[in-house]
Amino acid sequence: MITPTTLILASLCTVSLAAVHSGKASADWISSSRTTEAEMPVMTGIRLAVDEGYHTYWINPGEGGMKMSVKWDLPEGWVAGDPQYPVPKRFVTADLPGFGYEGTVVFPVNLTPPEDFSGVAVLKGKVTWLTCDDKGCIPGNADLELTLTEGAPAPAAEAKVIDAALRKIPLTPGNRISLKVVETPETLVLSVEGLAKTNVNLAEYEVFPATPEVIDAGAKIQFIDEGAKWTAEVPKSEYAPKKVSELTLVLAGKSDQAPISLTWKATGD
Amino acid sequence: MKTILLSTIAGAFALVSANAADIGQAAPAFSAKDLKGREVSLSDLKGRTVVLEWVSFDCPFVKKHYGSGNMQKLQSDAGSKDVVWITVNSVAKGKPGYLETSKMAELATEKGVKSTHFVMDTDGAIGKAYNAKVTPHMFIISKEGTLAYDGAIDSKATTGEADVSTADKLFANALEAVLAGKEVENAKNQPYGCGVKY
Repeated sequence: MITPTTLILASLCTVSLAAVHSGKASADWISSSRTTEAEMPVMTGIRLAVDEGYHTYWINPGEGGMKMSVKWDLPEGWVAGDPQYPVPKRFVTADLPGFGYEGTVVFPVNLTPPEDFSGVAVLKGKVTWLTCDDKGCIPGNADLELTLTEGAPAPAAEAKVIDAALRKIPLTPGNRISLKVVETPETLVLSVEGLAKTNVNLAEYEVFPATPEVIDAGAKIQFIDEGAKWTAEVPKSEYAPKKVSELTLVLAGKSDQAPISLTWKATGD
Repeated sequence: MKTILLSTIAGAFALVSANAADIGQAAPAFSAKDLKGREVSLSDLKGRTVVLEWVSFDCPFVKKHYGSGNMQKLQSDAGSKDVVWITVNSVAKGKPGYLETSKMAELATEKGVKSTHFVMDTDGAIGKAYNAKVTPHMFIISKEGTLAYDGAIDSKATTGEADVSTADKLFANALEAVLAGKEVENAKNQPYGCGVKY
């Protein structure tokens, strides 16, 4: 139940270096180093600690939900990369299939100082997210700040947290591994080539559609071994475009193999 | 006993037709009483464009569109063009956000709802016939009684009011096309919002 008081609290944004609690999560901005030099990128992370019983959302939130996003306010010349989204889990909220996170999740963000960086830089980002449980959804937001000082990079206390987060970010393999998509009226036939001579067993991978509104969010994606390639047939999303032109899948192994990301784009007719 | 049971079942079927809602097909028929006690029946609305809007006022995505005044503006603009706008609440009794009819009427007044009718669909019959998934989920029914739009209110699946002005106005554009007798582009798209609490 949302009371007027919680609504007021949720709408206030506090600028703080410590974690900011809003909606049903706490947010802070951590960095692998507190120092850096001109043009030397620093890996940082937006960390959300979601209250027990709630979840927040992946880049493809599924049906309903909303992905975490950041609006940057950086000193001149600084460049922020896109936030990276770790491998999610599946859940169903109020009958709607979704993808996202429970507990603590860290979204790595790469920041690059300009060539004339010196002294101290105060970086700002307004983070917005949505937390839901079966009863309802509550948005949260936080104005976060990160201060970086000129100097040789050195691991900060949170460097290990960021390293662990990076291991959950899907990697794009070389061109030898490829995804192909063939459309039928109701389904998509997915095939992955280039794994025949590796020990990768895609049947054991959990597979997520990173592109929204192409594959039915509630459908499990199960690859089967056909020798030269792995294939899976999945139901299309009822909101799929008339002609599917692009699909990115995230595949996560059950063991400690790095998750991978495969993208297919239709070639021009 | 048997007779009563049979007539109850027959009554339930009379309220909502069993067809699923598909673009270009006949929109599922329904009849209900609105918050003011007026009878609303889709079959009586032939010849007029009808909008269905699913609502739940404690949903942050709904708050975005009522808090910014976007929804009320769409409702009054539509009303000025002879569109019948039906706001539907399908929250089941006992589910989060459920309100008695009188409380819902008070809240609708407080929010400045400008729709033609506000219908309590507590048993979820209308919502399920249309497969209304989230709040807000928008539908447009043409003058001929066919489904012309099933989708999102706009393109930005966020809760921030500032995003209303910069989003692609999917629903508003669709309504404009329907009223102009043109084909709707993107007639079916994924709505965003909070799951309907059936």
